[in-house]
Amino acid sequence: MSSNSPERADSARRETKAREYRRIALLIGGQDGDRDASGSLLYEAAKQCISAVASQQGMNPGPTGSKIRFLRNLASSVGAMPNLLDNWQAASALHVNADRLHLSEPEFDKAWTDAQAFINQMLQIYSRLG
Amino acid sequence: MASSESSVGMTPSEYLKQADEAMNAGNGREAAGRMWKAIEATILGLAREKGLDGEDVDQLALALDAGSPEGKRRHMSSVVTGVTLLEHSRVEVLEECELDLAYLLSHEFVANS
Repeated sequence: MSSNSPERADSARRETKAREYRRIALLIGGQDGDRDASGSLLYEAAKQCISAVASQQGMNPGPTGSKIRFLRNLASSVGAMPNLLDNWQAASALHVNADRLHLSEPEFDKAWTDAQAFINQMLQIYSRLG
Repeated sequence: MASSESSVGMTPSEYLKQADEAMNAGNGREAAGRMWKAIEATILGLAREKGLDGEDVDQLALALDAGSPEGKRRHMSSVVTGVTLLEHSRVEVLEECELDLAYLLSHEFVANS
């Protein structure tokens, strides 16, 4: 992919969005403790990470089903990224929790930590492939 | 949050069998509920093996993870996925593909524990 291709620009925009959503999520979660809002934002950050890496590879993962297929392929191809799918699952749990508030405090804490791990893993992959 | 109600009497593999039957019959929400019971029974069984007291699945998962030699938190991770499956059994909150992944990961946890 050329450095000024539309996919490259889209990829960079999504990476920026991911970092910004994460920053706001951590800010909200840390200051006033709005857990469902911060969890929802962390999920959005995670989604943007997937789109950033997919776009970087000239792909458009589209709806959730395609995102999961993309992640499965990514997990098996990049290596040394343990629990990538589990960590995405944690981000999904935060997404559901924003609507249903079904996670207890220790469950939320675990999902929160793992969703951040997912974002870190995806940003590492983004840097590696960039 | 995660309770152990009516989990007495069936083994994780029996719940797993029921879950698979429901999934194969195309009843994803029933399968999700059965899979949660399989995870719950797995955690309770592992806790008993380790001599841990109590019925609170969250606390037992935390205790099991604390004793994990590799320092991973796979038990609590499975509970997080499990309670999301439980929620899906009550109200449809997961897309089909999301359910598929949660189901697959949970299946691996129960079968390998």
